[in-house]
Amino acid sequence: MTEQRHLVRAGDVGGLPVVTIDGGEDAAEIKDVVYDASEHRLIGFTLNKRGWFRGAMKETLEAEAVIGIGADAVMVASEASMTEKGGAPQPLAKPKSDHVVIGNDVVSSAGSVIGIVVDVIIETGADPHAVGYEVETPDGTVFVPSSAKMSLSGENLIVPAEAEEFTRNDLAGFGASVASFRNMLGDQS
Amino acid sequence: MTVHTMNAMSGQSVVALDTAEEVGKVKHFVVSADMTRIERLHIDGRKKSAVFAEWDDLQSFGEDRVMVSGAAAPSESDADRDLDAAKGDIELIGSRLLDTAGFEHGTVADASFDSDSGAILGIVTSEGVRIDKASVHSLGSYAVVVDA
Repeated sequence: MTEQRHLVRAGDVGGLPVVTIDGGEDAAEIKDVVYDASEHRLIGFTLNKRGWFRGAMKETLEAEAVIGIGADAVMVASEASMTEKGGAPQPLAKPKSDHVVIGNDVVSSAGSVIGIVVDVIIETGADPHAVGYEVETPDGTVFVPSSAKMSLSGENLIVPAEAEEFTRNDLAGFGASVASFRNMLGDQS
Repeated sequence: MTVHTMNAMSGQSVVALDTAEEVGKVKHFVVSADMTRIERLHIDGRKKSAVFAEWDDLQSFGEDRVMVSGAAAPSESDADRDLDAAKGDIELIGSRLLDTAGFEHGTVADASFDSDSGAILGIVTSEGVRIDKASVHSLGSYAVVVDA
């Protein structure tokens, strides 16, 4: 089977089972995606228990511990891939409220409002990371690539004017657009 | 190496060499979590509780019968994996097939094994794809995990 590169909305990852590769067990379920908007970086996931007695788990899952995120599951090596909050990085153990990006106005550095952030786009695979934002505009939904050169206040997400050229209105074409945008900026983030 | 498929052997009569009596029928295969081998068979017999025949007690897989060393060989088990297999909670055939990238590919339609050693050789998916054991990672209650 061929390797599949795949973009997903962070909102669609919630509820996916976390499955162990060494055991074939559904060890947990994704509760929330923890995202550092100030660095446009995927940090990890909070978890729910599976089964009848669902509820929040004390363990969390760092993005670095994920082997793959697909349409049907989040894959980890083993149950040891999930860490208790005490051992998790600070942003994952105690997500900061100023990480909120959903609902921010998207404003170009030229001063034009593009729209409102409605979701974060994650590139899946062995190194899952955030690559952009889904933005609702008066003309429909577009996808804007993220960059370290963006700034965020909690109210406004400022994007370089050049980014407008790389926005796409379909997720399928967005992956190539992200790579082109970052090459243009000389930005590997 | 003698190759058999699980579908062909499932439901086959299990006969004891010492008494020549049927002790039951092959109900489930208890497969190791790492999918390397069949550890024992769950035999559907006359007893109320589940009984299992250890792999080492199985003498041969014939065209018509599975031969076990003795009528007393099949025994009960309190191991979680055995009981889960007997309940069908961990069942290779019909299990969801998931790759390491997190995408489903149907279910497991059949599996082949070497009856000399009990080694799993490969699986066939419901989509008709044959997957060699080298690309199979595990069997659990949720899925069989294979390489992406």
